[in-house]
Amino acid sequence: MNLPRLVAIVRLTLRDAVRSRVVVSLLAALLLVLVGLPLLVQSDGTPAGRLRIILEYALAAAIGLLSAATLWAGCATVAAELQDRRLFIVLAKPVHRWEIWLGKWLGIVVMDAAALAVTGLVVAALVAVIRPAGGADSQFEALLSARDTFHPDWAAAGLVRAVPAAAGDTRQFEPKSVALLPGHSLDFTFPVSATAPGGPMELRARLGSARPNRAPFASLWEFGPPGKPVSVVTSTNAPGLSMALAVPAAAWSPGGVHVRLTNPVGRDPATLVLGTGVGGVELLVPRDGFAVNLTRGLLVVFARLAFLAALGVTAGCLLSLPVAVFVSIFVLVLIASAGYVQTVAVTGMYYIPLESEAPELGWLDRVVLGVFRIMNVATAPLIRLEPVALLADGRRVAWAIVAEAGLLLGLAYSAVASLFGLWFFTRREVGRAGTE
Amino acid sequence: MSTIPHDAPAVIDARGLNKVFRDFWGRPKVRAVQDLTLEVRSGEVFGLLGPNGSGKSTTIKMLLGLLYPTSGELRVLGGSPRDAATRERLGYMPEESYLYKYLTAQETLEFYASLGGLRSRRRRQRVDEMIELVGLASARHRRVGEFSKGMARRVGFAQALIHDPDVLLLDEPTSGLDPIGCRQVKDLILDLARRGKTILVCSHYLADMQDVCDRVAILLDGRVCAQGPVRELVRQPDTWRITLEGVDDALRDRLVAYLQEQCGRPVAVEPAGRSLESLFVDVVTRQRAASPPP
Repeated sequence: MNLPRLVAIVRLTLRDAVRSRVVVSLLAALLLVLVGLPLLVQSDGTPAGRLRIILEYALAAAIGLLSAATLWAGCATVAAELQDRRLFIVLAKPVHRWEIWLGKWLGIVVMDAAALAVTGLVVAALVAVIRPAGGADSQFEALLSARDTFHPDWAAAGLVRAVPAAAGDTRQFEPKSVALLPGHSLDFTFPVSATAPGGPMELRARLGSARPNRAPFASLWEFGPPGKPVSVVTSTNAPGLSMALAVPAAAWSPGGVHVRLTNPVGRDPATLVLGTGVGGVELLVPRDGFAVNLTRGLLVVFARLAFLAALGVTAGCLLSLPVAVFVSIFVLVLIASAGYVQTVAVTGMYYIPLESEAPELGWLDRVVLGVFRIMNVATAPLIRLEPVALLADGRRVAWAIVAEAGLLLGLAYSAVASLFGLWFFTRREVGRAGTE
Repeated sequence: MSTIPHDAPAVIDARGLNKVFRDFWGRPKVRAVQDLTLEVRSGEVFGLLGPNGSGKSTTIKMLLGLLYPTSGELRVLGGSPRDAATRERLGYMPEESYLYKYLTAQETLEFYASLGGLRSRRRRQRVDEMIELVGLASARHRRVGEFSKGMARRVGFAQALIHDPDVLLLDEPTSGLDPIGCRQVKDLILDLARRGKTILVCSHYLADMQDVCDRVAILLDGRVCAQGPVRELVRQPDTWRITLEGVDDALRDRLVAYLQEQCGRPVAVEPAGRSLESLFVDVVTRQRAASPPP
């Protein structure tokens, strides 16, 4: 590889973006979205609500804008140069076509890095502006802390047990929910054993009741070692609604955070139902600060943008500019629909059946479902490696997610896109009359 | 024009070259080049002539490795033009100035010099030389997008030379240039040829081609219709033009009468004159010398 050649192509791509005012327009649009959207979207009026708007809507919109700009820039950087024949002179020089591909890709990736850095700085500045002085708003501070999620050790609580269906069956069965009769308690521990939490924790739970109506019911929560709780909270909730309780850091011990849930005997006792699966009950434990978490989140986004840049450059190498843009828009729609694609692939239904029973699938349905399942293989990581939802919920974007995004999206996906593009680009004729 | 020995090594060697453009379904649409056989020797200025659509540009693009021959054999500098190593010794000036409009003249040449593999000090030196050569020193920091067509053509010519290639492929090199620019380019082509460069030129401007080319090939519908040294191709057997100086009208009449008697047919006589190009260049050069531009 000839480094000066590569650097020359990277610099050219950046100069093109800067001097054709792509960068200025992009930065202006990012500022407009990041600052303007929180002013347009109505929040609940609290600082925490405003923070959610910034992280959940404005940041997501900015990332969407960057994704679209990256795909467009990727398509245009090669396809437009082929169309107006500027690339002819470049291709006539002693340059390998893969050096052109790589230089163009790196140029866009550098531009994305700069745009993401600006995005991060603007978000951090906005957060600093709306942050209540002295950490007065605990909800706001909770959202800013990067929290790890823990689920109870149901096996230690004695809820996971062998229920053999036949002789010799040793499988373990974990219940999806636990029913708690009035006057009874359930003890369980969150295995938070690594280090002490950096601040107050938050318990989230979704309780149901055995009553046929939706009348609210009470639950009693004790946090801390058994028999010596450091915090006792009585909560009254409507069934099925998620509740959030503050758990003091003192409730932690090296063995974890012990919780006792009691169904109190009141005037109108009801059997409580506690979900034990994902989303049933969880403990959020603060670990890092917002700046580090935002940086990790933006690194995940950066890996995604690197993949989109690879897709764009590849499309631009293979197709004419209008077709490449059309294909890129399709890819963006596909990425935006990743959740729906996953739902269809997992449930096997791509529409809601009117009948109560699932309809019999015809051959066309099977073909469509097959296509969805193939698409899901590619798009599922995009859902898993989505940092905005984590940031907006004050959850930690783990380094493992950053590493997975870097390896999977930034390297593996980009490499597949680049190999595919290079295979065609190195074989493609340029300069056919009327084709560029 | 120079005299190239017949045993000089072939730098461009095309044998039975064909190029067929196909449609989306793979059906032959256009036969752009048919059974083309060319041999351009080292140090030669070779002209490709032909009307629009005759296959000149397609041939050049095949020589650059941008298009691939459908059949036939093509060697440039002994290798395939699709190899980057072959293109290290090739320079190309396209028929239009396909340049990056947002770059200045200096940035443009620095970019192509980097692609040509020149390292920093040599690159700077070479860029300065080329800017001087094409007369753009005062405009080196202006963006190419602001240039006139002629100035852009000069940048195009400079980028073709920037990495000091052994073989130059020039597509309509004088197109868009004023007569002085044309003369400079032609002088430069002749100078490069004297320095041992091999040059293949495509042009519609037959007078320009006649001025610079050692040999030409005339293409029509992708086929070579005529090929050979320019002097031999344009020469009319048994026909001569005699230029006489210091001859008054009476002597001229006596000479014409004598020649007509000897040849047995009418003799064409016309006053000798210089070419309009030569007059233009002289007038403008004198004027500029008298009052240089601010």
